[in-house]
Amino acid sequence: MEQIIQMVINGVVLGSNLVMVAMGFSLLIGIMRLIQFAHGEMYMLGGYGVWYFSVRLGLNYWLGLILAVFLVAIFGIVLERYFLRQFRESLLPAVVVTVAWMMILETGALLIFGTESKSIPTVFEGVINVSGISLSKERFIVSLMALASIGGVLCFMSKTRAGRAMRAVAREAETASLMGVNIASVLRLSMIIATVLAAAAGALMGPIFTMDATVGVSMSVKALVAITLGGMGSVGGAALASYLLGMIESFTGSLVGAEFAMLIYFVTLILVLLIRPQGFFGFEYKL
Amino acid sequence: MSKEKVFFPGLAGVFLIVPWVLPEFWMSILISIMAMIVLTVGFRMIYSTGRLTLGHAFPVGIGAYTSALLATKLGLNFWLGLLAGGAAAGLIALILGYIVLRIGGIYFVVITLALSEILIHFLVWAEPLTGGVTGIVNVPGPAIYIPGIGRREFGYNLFPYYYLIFAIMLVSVSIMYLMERSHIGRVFHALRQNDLLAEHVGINITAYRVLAFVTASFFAGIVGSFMAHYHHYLCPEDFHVMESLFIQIYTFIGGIGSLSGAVVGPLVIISGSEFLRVAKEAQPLLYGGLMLLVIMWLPGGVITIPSLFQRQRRKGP
Repeated sequence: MEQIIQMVINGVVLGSNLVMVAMGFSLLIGIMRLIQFAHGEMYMLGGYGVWYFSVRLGLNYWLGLILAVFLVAIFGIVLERYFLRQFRESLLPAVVVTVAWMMILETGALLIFGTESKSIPTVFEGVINVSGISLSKERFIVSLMALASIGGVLCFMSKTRAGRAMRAVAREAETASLMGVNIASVLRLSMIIATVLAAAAGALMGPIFTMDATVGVSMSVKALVAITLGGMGSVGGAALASYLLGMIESFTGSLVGAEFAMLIYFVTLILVLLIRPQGFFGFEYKL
Repeated sequence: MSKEKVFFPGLAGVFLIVPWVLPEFWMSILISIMAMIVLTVGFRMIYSTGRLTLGHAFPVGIGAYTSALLATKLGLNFWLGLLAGGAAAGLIALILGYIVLRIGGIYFVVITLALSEILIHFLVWAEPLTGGVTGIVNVPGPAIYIPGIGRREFGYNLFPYYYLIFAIMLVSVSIMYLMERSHIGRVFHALRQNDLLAEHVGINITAYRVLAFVTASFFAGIVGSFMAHYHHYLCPEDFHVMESLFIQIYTFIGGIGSLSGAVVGPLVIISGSEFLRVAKEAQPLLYGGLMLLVIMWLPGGVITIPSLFQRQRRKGP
């Protein structure tokens, strides 16, 4: 019993690791109609940024986090403005461009910072112990933050004017623009939100999971699985699917081994795509 | 089009005489270039039916492991293994293709990505059979039996390997070229332009897509089998998604629009990075940058550079 609860908790932590990346990824697909394969690299950049500012330069962890997220967000704006905007709705060239950025960022990080993985000292010491089930304080707080970010994004999308404009563009960009929505600023805003979420996830998860340069690609692939399950373009679906995948990874990982867990992961993905390609919560986008 | 009739035989002639002209070092590079050309031309054929695959290393891996396992576990002859590798890759492509090629757009991209991930994780997981992460070592090289002279091992001499992959490239690229020039190629073109319309005028769109997929995978399997015996060694990491991305990059930089672009891509980039002595670790960075430049400012690829100058000359006074 205790083992099962421990596995559930691990699943929640793994899901929290994924959810902030997957939500932004899904948002970008809905609004920009392209798959941003370099999205996982934003997670990597966030983690490396925190490592650089707090370990290499010796700044405060939180100051480093803010600096890293800020810089990555600026990079995201540049990326959107000069490399992604013109490939909106042209699927295959967009794959090529974002894959190129993925390779550039990963190899760049590898060449500049080396192959060894970076560990960031934790800021929250201590372990929470409830009747034999233990969870480090750090994992607890970070999972809460991930949950808060889901609430924040969903609230923003449904309650604010800008969020409604974003949903309108996701549904019908042309009509939205006729109704007076500034498409360019919606694109920029969605890129900023997605990038900030991914970079913050990397910065927060850096102390829990070690960072290395290849983490970006595996994050992109995992987030891709999550948003396919949740329905491409659906932010809430992506959040639910992330936790589902976290559970799958945690349970199969501790019951039958990590390699087999990955096999199940991808077989699930292909089955979902064959049976219900629009995912379980998605709108039917023509992608 | 008439340019291609000069270009391809000319290039084949150059490949034929290179081993006698250039030092042995270049032979090993040209072997990997020729193997890559088979893959990029196949990749382009799948793309020409309107499907982008990010998992073209998948059939290569199937072919390589099939033939290497047959050779090391059952002691099968290399030449049969070569065919078996291609056949296995083609068969799997046939079965998967009929299911998977119906789904278009980004979903197909994701599926092919997932398939190549599944292959890697499966190869690592099935360690008793495939040797896990370390892979299979001591894959025997090919041998040939010449009447009157006797059995000759290829061993570590590059010459026979060079001409073997040259023959494989010649046959496979010719077949794919002829397919493109025949009515099949025109059907592929129609599929990419508007598959709904193509279906409505009575074309079995899935069958034609499967044809492209199976042909490309068959030749990819043969190349994989060749590479396994040529390197005498293989491991799951050789068929990583990154390898598929390289195939895509070579094709796009060369020029996805024509078959000669897919031939020129690997030739220019692999030999170029050897000339510049780019470190192996920095290659993805350089290739990624090049790919960005090409897709942003030269959408037709390197192959269109000569025609750019021609147009300017015509415009001039």
